[in-house]
Amino acid sequence: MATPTISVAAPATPVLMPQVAAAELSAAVREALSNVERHAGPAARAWVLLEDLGGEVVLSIRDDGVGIADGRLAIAEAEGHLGVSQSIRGRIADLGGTVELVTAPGEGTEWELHVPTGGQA
Amino acid sequence: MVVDDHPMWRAGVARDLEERGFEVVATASDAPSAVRIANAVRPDVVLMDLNLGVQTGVEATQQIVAARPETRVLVLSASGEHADVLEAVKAGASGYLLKSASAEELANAVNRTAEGAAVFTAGLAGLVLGEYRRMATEPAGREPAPELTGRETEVLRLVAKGMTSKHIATRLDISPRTVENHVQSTLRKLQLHNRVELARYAIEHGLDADQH
Repeated sequence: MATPTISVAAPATPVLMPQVAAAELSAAVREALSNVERHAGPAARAWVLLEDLGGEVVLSIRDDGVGIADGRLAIAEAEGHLGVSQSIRGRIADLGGTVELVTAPGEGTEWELHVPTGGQA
Repeated sequence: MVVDDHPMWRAGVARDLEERGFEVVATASDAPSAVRIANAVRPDVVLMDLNLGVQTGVEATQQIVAARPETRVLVLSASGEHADVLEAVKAGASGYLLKSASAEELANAVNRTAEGAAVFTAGLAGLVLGEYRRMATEPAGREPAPELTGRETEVLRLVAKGMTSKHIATRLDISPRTVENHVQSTLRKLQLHNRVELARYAIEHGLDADQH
């Protein structure tokens, strides 16, 4: 997934998880990254971090773009056209995981997706 | 000193560095000559390619740092050599840069390495984090595995997410210097553990050889 504008950080050893979870998680990352491409501004870079906490996998997607203004997400959600946020939240919720979204104007956007992998990974 | 098995790459990197005021005291094309030449010319910084043939840059790094611990090794690697980068760092390298870096980034990295700073990319932070977690899940060996403090984990995660020391310092309300110290400390613990394990391995195998 790494490109000149996307940096990927991960352990040297493979992170194992059920196939369904892996597919959903990678779809969620792709959605978050395409959102960066569309909304973060032309100069934005993105970083993906994959962590294996043993029993839980954490995927973080951060960009240094324009960020999302306070309340902007809620407005979009109310208007019913917040495809990305909803889609990512839905995918992760289906896996029994949680989503944190941190953003502020000028501060970029940071997703943290926590997904249980069941027992020791 | 520049170590790489590709002559054109070696020459190009040496030229870039000299144009920016560095003195390139030597070059080498394989691991054994890198170790021999480094011992002779005592460079401040060794730029080390990992893919050197039979003996790798990891082995060369380990031997150079063992012979003269004040030598700083900065790994220049192609992408996709993750496991090797991690091994090189455990063997004593103080940072790594992708070969796709610009001449400017390279010069900055060499300067920082010479000053004793760890050159941590987001990718390396992810590898180091992963290594600590891997060690924590392994059955306890004879040498207790090193662990990260809560703050060190916090700092490494932010580096892995691409934040600069300055940005991290602001977010955690500490000084950039303290951020750098935390990053350095995560490397030192990993390298110390690796040396102790190598020494134990050598002793055990030495004893084995005596008995047979």
